[in-house]
Amino acid sequence: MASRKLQGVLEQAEEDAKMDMSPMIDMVFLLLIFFMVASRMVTVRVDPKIKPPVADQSVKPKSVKGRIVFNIYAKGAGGESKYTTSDGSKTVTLEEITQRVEKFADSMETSGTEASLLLRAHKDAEVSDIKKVAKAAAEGGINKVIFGAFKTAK
Amino acid sequence: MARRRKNFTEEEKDPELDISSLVDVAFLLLIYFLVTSTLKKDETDLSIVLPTSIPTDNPDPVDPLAILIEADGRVMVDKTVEVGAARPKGSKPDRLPQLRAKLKEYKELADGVGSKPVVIVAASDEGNTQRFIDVVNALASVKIKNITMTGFSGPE
Repeated sequence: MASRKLQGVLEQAEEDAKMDMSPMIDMVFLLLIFFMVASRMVTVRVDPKIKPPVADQSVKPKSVKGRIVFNIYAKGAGGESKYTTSDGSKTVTLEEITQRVEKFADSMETSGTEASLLLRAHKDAEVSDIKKVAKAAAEGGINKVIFGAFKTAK
Repeated sequence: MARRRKNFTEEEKDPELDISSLVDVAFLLLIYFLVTSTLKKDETDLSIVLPTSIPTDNPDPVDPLAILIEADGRVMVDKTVEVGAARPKGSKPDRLPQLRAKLKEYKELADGVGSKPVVIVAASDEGNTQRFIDVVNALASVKIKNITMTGFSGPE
């Protein structure tokens, strides 16, 4: 008789063998929120207004370390040139480009990284602007120029 | 009495939350964002190295190759041979096969005598970037990175 009772208890226990997932979900959300708050994206922010030219011989960069980025816009209706810093948040003049490049080249030299200039020129920008920025950067001490491009037009 | 109490305790024991609707909504959102989002295209590199002002002791045994890019997009080699036709602003990229053939020839010549190929690119100020990049791209196809650019005639 006692064994039947025990069996009954056991059966009930087996029936209720459900895992409680809620603490796990709590922890997952907690971790998710922690990493969302604590992490910072390391990708290079670029100016979305620039549509780079297409070059099929361009290669995927192995490392994006040691780069200073300038964007060159297509000339406006009034024929004015516009250059911005990496994410397009700040418009700079050629003199400022030289100053920034100088500072950047110095800091890269102390850290032992090869500095290079990433020129993101719009595909309809004028060549004269590329020359001007390349010259300004060369005066600042960087002679390796990388052109931002797309591998394919599609 | 006893039965009622039993029922009461059982009800209190498993107040289960039905999360299946939550999962449904989560999947719906996932599918919505999967469908509507577009992946941003990766930008690639096309690098050149501009010459430094350090003079070299030994002059190159091969003559430098001059590439001229006119304002209308024509590409000339050694000032006279046209290797690329005129292209208006906003036109599609061009592979410049004639220029590539010429560059290959030149590169073989330079490699044959064991010297570095020297290419001078003189691009017109009014030319557009895509045409200029076409030429740099052709240079990259034969692995010429050392490029001299002329025509730095700005207001400065």
